[in-house]
Amino acid sequence: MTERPDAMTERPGTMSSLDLRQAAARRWYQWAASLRRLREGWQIFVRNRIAVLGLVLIIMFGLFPLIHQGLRSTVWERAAIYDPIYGFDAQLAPHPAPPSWIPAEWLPLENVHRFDQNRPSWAHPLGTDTLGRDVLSNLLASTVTSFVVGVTAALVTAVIGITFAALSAYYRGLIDGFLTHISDAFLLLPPPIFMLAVGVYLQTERTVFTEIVYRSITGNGLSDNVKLILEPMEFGIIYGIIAGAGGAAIVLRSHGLKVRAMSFVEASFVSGAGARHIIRKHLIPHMVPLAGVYMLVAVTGAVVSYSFLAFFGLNPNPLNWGTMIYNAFAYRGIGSSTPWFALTPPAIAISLFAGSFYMVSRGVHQVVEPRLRPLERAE
Amino acid sequence: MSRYLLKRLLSGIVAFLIFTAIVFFGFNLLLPFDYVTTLSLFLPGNEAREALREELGLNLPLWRQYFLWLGHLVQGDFGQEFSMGGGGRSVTEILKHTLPPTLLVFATGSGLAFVVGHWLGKVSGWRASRWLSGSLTLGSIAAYTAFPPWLAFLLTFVLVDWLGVFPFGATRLRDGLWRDAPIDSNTLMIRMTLVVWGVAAAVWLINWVSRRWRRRNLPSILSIALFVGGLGLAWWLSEYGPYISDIARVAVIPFVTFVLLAFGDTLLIMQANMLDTQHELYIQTARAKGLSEKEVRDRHAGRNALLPALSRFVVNMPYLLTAIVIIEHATEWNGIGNLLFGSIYNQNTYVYMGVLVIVGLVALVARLALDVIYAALDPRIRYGGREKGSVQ
Repeated sequence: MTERPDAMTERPGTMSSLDLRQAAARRWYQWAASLRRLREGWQIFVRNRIAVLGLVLIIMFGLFPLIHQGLRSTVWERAAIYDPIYGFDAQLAPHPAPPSWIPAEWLPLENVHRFDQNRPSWAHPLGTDTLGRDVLSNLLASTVTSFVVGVTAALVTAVIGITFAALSAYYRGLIDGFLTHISDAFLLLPPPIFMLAVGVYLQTERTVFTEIVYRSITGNGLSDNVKLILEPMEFGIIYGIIAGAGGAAIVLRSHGLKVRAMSFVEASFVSGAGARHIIRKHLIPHMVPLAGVYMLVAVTGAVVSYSFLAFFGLNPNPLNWGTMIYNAFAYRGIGSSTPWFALTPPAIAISLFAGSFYMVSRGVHQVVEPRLRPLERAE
Repeated sequence: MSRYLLKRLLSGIVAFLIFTAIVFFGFNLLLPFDYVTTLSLFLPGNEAREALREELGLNLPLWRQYFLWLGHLVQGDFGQEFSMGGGGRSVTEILKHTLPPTLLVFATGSGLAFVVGHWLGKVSGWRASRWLSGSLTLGSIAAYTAFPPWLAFLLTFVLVDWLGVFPFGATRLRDGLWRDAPIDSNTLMIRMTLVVWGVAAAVWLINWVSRRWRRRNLPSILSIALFVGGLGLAWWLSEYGPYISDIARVAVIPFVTFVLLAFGDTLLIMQANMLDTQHELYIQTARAKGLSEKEVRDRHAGRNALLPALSRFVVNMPYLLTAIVIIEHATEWNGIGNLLFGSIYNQNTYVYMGVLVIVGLVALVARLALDVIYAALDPRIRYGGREKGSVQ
């Protein structure tokens, strides 16, 4: 192997102490410069009030699990009542007699319907759901699931999108054509519908009916080696693959092609840098900020899809806002009317959680894309 | 230009084939077993099940099933639904019965959502006061990220239970009315869609003539009045008045839910595009010429911001169709959404493949139409042939 004259790398062993000091100084300057860029970006971000609001909301949601732990260990001393899955309040559950001013013939079934059962009280700040579980506890505990789904989906979206885009943008030609067509196909496929098939798969596995059928065919059961719940992380991975190979890859690719055509990449190419170097040092760093925007958008989509699966009864994970809504509808018959206290908080939480990431993505987009910033007013 | 369009058409077809393969193999491998196992209760014994499998062609290897289905699809045949006694209906027939309700909501709703989102985005993106643009942005983000079934439920509650607009049987057509109706409800739905788009096109035409003639757009209020008046006139002239109102009564909730979910995206993109165009030199030129701010906004910035918003809208079409699927399931509106759910549960492969192919085809055709529009409007494509301005 012949040695290339390479200006970019210094051969080890030939450095004097002066060189070393220069190298250290250069590293310091680079570090300071990137810090400065970060601060400038932050200043632009802060100017977008909506993005800041989103960030505050995300931080608030991030505190939810901590608050839950704190409450369970201090204020809610009888922790069993406040268990988000199994807990129920024995003082509400036996359904004491309805208020005396209600005529008896108005009550459809005796003593089953209690009108103020779900109302918020000091013991249950957001009320209880129809089964007597504390809504606040469930709401706080479910935040973790949403974060896991969202963050996994975001990371996988970024990895897949950047991989597709970097390969297309660097190699172009045949590889580009191949990957672009795959992306186009994924763009025609809406992830929630695909997730529906995943949900049906899990749901069908779960039912006793299929279990019996399967036993009658094969002679042994399923449930020993089949997972019953779609882990939030698995959901995030599947969603991320579809979202990353579709929309994110296409946008990142066109950005990568722009970067690939820039003169510093050409210079690097001419001075003998290989594919690995150009992709790692030039293409990917330029794609990461834009990928960040798509990561945040993927969080929005993934969380809504995950809840949507739960809403149709296809997602048996009990710690999930969508499941809370599903349960509120499924056990509607128990209460006297629509269980607003079990319905509203999770629905608002889904909207706010998804929306907050979207808001932050808009702020980040303005940092990445200078043309999107609003003009300074003349007056 | 024709070479460019041909190239886009070919690549669209390739993407579509990959799409069908992903969906077919993905769904068949993910869903447990097959259609016959969902019937096991009625078919005791392995022999009967195997016989049914052989009759339905489910014993073939998956790739042969795929290519058989694809071969029929190319000839315009969507296949047949599975059924136990043989003699399942053809999927084309099923789609003919379930497509019109979806079409009514989707075609009119997405048009309205685009117009509303476009207009609000234009106003709020162009030097609007901070409060106006902020509240519009927040509102559209809230609508965009709202949980669709919850939104549908809330609207049903407000309109039906609370305000009592449609007091009884809000989600179903009146049986008594339709029993000896002179017209099929599906046919009427298609005609309604066509009339809505026809009136919209007429208003646009009047606007265009006015632009040519007086070099000025009609006032927005007048356009809206013309549109509503045209619809009213069409209703009055047609002989199916009560039937139309019955369909409209049922369609209101899915329609409003869909518009609420769909307009936010267009608004946000339009806002970003308006911010993008304000840096351009031609905007400064237009201002320097002494044009009014409204004219600069509408004629110079707005028109250039329109095309990217339109392309984003088209690319998002599969997502809008997903929204329709969810809304239909939540509001019991009998369109392809409910068909899709049912057929996935039953693992009726060709039925859900048919629905998904329709979804993919609509998205694909919309994208090709967009390519044509781009090619017609963008001189770089019209003369050059290099695909610089291609979609996305």
